[in-house]
Amino acid sequence: MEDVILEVKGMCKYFGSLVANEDINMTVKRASVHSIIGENGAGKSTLMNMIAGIYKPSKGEVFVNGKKVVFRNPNDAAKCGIGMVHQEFMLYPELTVLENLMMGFETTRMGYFLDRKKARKDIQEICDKYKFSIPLDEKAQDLPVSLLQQVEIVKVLYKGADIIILDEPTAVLTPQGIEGLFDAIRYLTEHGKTVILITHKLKEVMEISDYITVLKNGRVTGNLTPAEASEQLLASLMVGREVLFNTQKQEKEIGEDLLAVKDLTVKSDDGVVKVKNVSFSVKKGEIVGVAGVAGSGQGELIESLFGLRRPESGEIRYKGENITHLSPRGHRVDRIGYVPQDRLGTGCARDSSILENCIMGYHVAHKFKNPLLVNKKEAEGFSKQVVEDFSVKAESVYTQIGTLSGGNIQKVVVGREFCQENDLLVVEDPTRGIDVGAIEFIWQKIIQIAEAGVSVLLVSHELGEVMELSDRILVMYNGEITGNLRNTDELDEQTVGMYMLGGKRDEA
Amino acid sequence: MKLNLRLSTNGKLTVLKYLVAALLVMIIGSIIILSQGNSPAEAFKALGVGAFGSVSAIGTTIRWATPSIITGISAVIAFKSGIWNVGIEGQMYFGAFVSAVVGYQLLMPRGVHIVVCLLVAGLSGMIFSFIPAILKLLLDVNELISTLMLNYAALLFTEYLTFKYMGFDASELADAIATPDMQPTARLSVLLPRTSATTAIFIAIGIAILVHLLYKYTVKGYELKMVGENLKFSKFGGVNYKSTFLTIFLLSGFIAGMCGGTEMMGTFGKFRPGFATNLGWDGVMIASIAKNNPIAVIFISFIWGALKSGSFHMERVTETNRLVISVLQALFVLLVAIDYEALYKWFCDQKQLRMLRKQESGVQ
Amino acid sequence: MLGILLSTSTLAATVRLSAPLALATMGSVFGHKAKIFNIGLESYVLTSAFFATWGSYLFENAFMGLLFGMASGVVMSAIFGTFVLHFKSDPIVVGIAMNLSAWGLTSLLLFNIFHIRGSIMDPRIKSFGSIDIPLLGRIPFVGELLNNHNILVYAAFAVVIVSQIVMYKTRFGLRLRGVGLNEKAIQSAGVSVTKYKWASLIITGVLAGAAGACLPLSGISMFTENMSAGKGFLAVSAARIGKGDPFKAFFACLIFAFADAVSVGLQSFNIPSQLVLMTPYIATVVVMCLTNLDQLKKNAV
Repeated sequence: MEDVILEVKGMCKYFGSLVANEDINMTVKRASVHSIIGENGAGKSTLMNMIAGIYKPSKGEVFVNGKKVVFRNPNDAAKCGIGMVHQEFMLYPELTVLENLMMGFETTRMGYFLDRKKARKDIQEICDKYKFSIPLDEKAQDLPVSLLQQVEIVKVLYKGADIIILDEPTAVLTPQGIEGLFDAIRYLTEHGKTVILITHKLKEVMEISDYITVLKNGRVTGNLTPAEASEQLLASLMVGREVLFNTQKQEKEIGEDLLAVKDLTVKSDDGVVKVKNVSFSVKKGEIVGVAGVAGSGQGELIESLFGLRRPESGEIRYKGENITHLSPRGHRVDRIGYVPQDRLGTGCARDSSILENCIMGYHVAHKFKNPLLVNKKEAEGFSKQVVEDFSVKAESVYTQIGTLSGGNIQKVVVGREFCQENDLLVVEDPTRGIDVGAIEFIWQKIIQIAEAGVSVLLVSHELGEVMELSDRILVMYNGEITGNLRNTDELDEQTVGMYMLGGKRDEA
Repeated sequence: MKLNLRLSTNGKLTVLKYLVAALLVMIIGSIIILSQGNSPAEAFKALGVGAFGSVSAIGTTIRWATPSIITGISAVIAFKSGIWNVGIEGQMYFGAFVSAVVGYQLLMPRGVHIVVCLLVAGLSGMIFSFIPAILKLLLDVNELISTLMLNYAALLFTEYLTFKYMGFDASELADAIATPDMQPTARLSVLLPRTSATTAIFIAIGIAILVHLLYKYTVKGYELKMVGENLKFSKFGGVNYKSTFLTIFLLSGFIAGMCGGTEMMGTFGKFRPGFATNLGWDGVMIASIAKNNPIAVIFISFIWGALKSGSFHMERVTETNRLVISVLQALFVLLVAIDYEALYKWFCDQKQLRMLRKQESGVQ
Repeated sequence: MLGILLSTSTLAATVRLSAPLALATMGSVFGHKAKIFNIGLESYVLTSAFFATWGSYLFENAFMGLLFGMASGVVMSAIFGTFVLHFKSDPIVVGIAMNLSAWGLTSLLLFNIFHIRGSIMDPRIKSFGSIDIPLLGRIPFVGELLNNHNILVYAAFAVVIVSQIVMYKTRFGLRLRGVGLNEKAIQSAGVSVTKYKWASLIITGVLAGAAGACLPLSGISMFTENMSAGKGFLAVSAARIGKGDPFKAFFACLIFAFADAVSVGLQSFNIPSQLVLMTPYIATVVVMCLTNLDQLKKNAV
């Protein structure tokens, strides 16, 4: 049992001058669960992408079963029995599950024609063996996330993988879904498969792993077993300093209802009801967090709140006025700000300058001295304020925003909304994919602005973020608000998780 | 107006890219001309003489630069905001036809008549551009295809209107099918005596400068630009994108229609079906070369005009077919559309791949 | 009047006229599924129409014409592919530039090779003859509709069916659809996106080339300047309307071909020819609107 299936020696990866991985050495034992942990940007995914043949290493060697291998592409890695399940699923929404599984690894008759029958049989065998149950004839777009993840794992098995790399598999799952996944992982290792798990969640690591490798800044800082490790030790190996991430919140007075949503129902583009009869309110100076598994209707709720999507029924009142059918422009004028989840796709115009990005929305809400002309002085002043207040690292306000780092872009996107003297901010995943320093900074800003009397509706897929910042938590499950919880010290993640899965709900 | 002539490294690269493209086009052109049994040197010389060699040559250059600027600006307005209005030619036909009819039918004092003709031309182009606009907004019909189709329809429909206006049995001769001559009060004055250059060039440059100012200083211009940079971003930033889309389409159509008007009031004097011979497409090409910069459109349009004027002379003097020039113009568009950075990256990747293969065969 | 519109001769003309459209559309369908927006298809059709004429003229053989046409289609695809896939140029700009150069180039070649402007008609240009299928001819109505067409018409139908099979029943088709749906995913599955995009472009080239060859070699044996008259654009819209599904796209083709055939039929009435000639273009816009009617509600906000 103790033989080595995979060995990595002296692996380095550079992206230009950026060091993603430096001199990585590790060994993975057969039929074990090996966790790779580290902060966002520690180089976990880069390392795994090299092992899976997606990136080419700048230096270093990989040995599989004691034999040196060089991968030109993922197929080479697959031939050596290495398969990877990416954080972002590699699926084709409009194709059936069967077609998804066959893609790139087709069984054919006469070399050209798809042999669906044989593929179906083979896949069914794998599903039976490892106890997966997935509907093969449904389109991928109709399945829930947890099932899609199973599809991905089956796909890797179907390609004959012995080593299965899972990149942050728990990020999209509920606590209960995570349990299911862990059961599957244990079952796989019992049947001789090796699982490499990438994660940054310590609890999970301690629960499931046989071996742990810790990465920090692209280097290995520890190779140990859970028996040797404690959460504190792992944390210190990961960040190298005390983890002090508890934000200091002061007791504050919460005012009257600013936003009141009543019986709101919203449909998605394809006519599915995504938000069902939702009612809630946000008071002045309050931070209301919205938790829920991705795709529970948060996106549609926000779009309808900001006038980007017309609700089927229901009413949205803001400062006592009915704003249900107001356009985004109207929302701007009413001093509602919005920080979108997708900062590059929705949050900014990559090829434009910081200034042009800053005055978006401002030009409607504040109006320049002459509302027809862009007042250069005023625009520059406001942009400089954003850059200074949010310590954005940039040469000048005329720098093209696309040349900044992710964290700095996010600071501009958040700063623009926070500096506009809005009364309500709808903030969606404000810290996705940015470094620790920037996260802390933005969290502080959210708390500060709420203390200044601005209401914040915080929608985040990181449960930890919602629990850290919110005064009150709304939990969405399947388009409904199943929980409206006061965020006290007694509230724990497990309870919120139950609400997120629909296992528990408040009676209205 | 102050022009910023200081170039960043990026700007220098752009200039280099255009020079390389121009050089390549000249080489390819020489080969084509040689293959026709003519001398490239003579042909290019004739081209130069035809463009700048005499007052009348310069006049012709200005004459052809005029519609190029206006259609170029019309295309810039659309493309800068990410809308593929390639129906400029069709919108031009409508503008031209209506202004030709108004120019003949109404009797007015000179100044007023010109303004009225120009306005009705713009309005007709605008109304015609309303069709693809509304189809895009309500039904998500791809504007590129709808405007392409409507171009063909516009050409045929204005021909029909001409017949209808003149009476169907007016003439069987294709050349004679045209509306009557416009009143002198509706004609623009000649710029250089005994040439085809008219004061329409001032209208054209005026339009270009106005559009430049629109983008540079106004809130609306900012919104138009940002819609093109990132539509989603602009939407949540409070830009009313539906009215902005409509503005873009209508403005682009209005300017295209005005181009039809200036053509009638300037050189032609009467509407002849099919008169535009790809003028709308010239605008599309120019906007794409100018990378949607209104001021650059003016300069490139003058080059365009020179090429057109020169090519007529070249054909007369050296028997080199002037179609060579139109092929080369399109080729130039193709060459400056290359993303050289991507090209370089691709080249490096190939090199790396070869090295990797070598490395691997060494291992095995 | 309605009688003439739906007469067998109009319907037979629909069948005949659908051939070039169907071929070009099938070409466009493969591009559509691989997510290549190829507005340059018009230039493929026009160029190959010219080269088909030339090939037929040189060898006094229609098949050589077809071969020339297809070869020129592939060359056009090679140009488009190089610029779009490797030089990363905007496909729309490349397409437009190619269309414009094709308009100039074919007229230029017409002048250089045949020393003629406008159009070329020569006894040495051979067309495909019509084929009399003995059994088919005896079936009433259907026989009239489907018999006595040239080989390209039958080939076009075959291509439609083969396209459907290739798209949904083969490994190539599955991967091609995968390329269009999720490039990143298919790359991680070890499939080269560039290779499949090139493959789809070559198919587009061959089929659009054949479509171009249909124009001069289906009986009239002549080439005129700008002969394609938007057929390439029609094909692109048909592929879009069918969302890349060969059968659905072919159905759209039939509608356009019918509009075309009707415009021929209408000319015998006292309707001005210009209005009649507008029918296929207007029909395209109308069909695009109709297939997008479901968007109306969404956009009515």
